[in-house]
Amino acid sequence: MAEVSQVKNRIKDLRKAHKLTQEELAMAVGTTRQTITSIEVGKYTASLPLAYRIARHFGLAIQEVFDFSQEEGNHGAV
Amino acid sequence: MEQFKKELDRRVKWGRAAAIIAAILSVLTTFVFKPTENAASDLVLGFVQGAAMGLALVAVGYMIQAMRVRRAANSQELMEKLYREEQDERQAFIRSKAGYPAMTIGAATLVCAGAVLAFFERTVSMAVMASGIFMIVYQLLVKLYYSRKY
Repeated sequence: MAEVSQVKNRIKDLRKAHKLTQEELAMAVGTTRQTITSIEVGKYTASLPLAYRIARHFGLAIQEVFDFSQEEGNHGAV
Repeated sequence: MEQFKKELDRRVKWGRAAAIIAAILSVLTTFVFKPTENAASDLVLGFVQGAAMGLALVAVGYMIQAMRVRRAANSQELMEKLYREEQDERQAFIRSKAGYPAMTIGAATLVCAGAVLAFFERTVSMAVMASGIFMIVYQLLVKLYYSRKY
């Protein structure tokens, strides 16, 4: 059975650069503070719609916020 | 958001109905229903009556909470926060991992069936109720596990 890998992200750095709290970011993207916390520490992987909303809030593309290089490595492996 | 307010109203109505049903069951099990010869002992019947009263209290508490939340509709900020918590994808993911709502309904059905069986056969009644309670405890533990994992 394939192991589910967690996608890394730059949300914490971007949030601090924009001087936002986790609660403020959560309100802006329509989720809870606990979810933002879990995403930042890599415990939970955001769904595509949520990832898009987060990236759009920072004015970036999804791949600029989330690091999919590990996912590409897994798919490339035989 | 309007849909969410309607959902809260619906919960208040369901909570009210559940409280009334539980209260009726409490009265019936105490004063009306007579157990058969093979039925459970007074201890189990007392447990069933206590469970019915407990259900009534839980239903009333649920209804009061829903009514308080519904009154919070005056505060847009609070309503939005409640709405976000309700729609949170991580919580929905954890609930699905824990088997909500199918397992909850199954467990409740087993407990109710066990309560009815208490009037007929003691051993079967206790086994069925224990299964239902085990399912509820298991579900809570699984939910706790996934809450910490994700």
